[in-house]
Amino acid sequence: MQKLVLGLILVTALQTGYAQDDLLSLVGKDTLKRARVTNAFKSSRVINGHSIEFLGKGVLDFRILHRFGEVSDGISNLFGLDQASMRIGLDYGLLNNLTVGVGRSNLGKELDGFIKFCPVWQSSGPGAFPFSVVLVGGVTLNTQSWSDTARKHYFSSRMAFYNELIIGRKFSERFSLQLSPVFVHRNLVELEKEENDVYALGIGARFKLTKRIAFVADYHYIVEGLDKDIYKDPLSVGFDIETGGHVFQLHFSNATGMNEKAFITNTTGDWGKGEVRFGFNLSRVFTVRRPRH
Amino acid sequence: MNTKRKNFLPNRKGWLILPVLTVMATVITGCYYDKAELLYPDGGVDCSAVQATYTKVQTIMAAKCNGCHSARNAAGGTVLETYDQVKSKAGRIRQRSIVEKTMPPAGPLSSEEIAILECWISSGAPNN
Repeated sequence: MQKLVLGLILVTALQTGYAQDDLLSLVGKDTLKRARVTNAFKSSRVINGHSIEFLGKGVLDFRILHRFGEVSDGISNLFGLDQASMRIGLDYGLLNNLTVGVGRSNLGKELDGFIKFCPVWQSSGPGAFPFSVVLVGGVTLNTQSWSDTARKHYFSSRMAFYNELIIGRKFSERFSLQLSPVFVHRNLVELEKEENDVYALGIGARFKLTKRIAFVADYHYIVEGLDKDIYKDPLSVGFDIETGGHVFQLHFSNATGMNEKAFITNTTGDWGKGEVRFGFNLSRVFTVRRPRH
Repeated sequence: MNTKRKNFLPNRKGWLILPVLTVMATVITGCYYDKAELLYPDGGVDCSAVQATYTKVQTIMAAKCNGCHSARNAAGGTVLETYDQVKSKAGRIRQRSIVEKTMPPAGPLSSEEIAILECWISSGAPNN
């Protein structure tokens, strides 16, 4: 009987040992798994430009953007709040690394659409990759009626395109930085001396202040294609505020446009002369299709 | 005999190639390098009919802009009283009054006034 009890204890101990070994091996495997680095930015836009952040698969992002008049317009115009330009848009995550979106701005009565794809994530663990690479392609369509009705107008003249490469990295829980070369093509420009192609280099940064608030800055240096005496480099600074499913981005900017073609090629406000405007981006996400497990 | 049917349709992820191809096709076929100045060498029939001169632009400035953008008030640091001042701000005037239609703040310019400004600026803002 004693031998039987001892035998049972031995078998149980051995099994427990194997089980522990199995569990430990599982734990080991989990901790060594390559993990995607997320939440580099609170929103899919830094302020004006796209960020390296993506919507999850099946997530719909309803976006309302406002840009008010210039603060320098003074008290009679309530420092710009009497005027407002807006864009209303919908972005949708087809996959975790593929988002499509459409929007419409009242500025120029412009429709825009884009496809955003991330071939490489920043990741940690074995085989980690140090930064994310994102590709964005978009098209804009001006639907405003032509001021000169006697001319023969072409549908193509309403269109512009942009392509963007974003390389970004979340350096720490607080700080993220991205660089984004952008190419904008306008099918029609006014003057012979104007360029149809515009090249810019975007720089976007986020510095997290608290769990829900972050400071963000979004700057695009116009490399080539615009007359710098008239057009200025768009610079926006502000704060991201996260409240549940909403993200509010409150900011000041010298740009009015709310798509890549508009804010890169049409910014005339000069920060040095106080030609800046208050604006906000409101983002509300809905899970319309739950991922299968 | 192998009776297994070959599925020529792409799988679910394969369908994603369609929007990508659509965008690529749009970009490739939709790119033009048009310049209005060359496309409409006479400035367009309407612009010649408008006869946009600086004298007409000055009248619009005096009636709609100089109330705030004068040497005395210089709202936003902008003065639009002389030819040089107006010409140097032509891009801003076009942006705020024609594209955004946010100036003047009391209400947008009339279509005739917009046509004069548009034609004057697109013709190189001459002093005539």
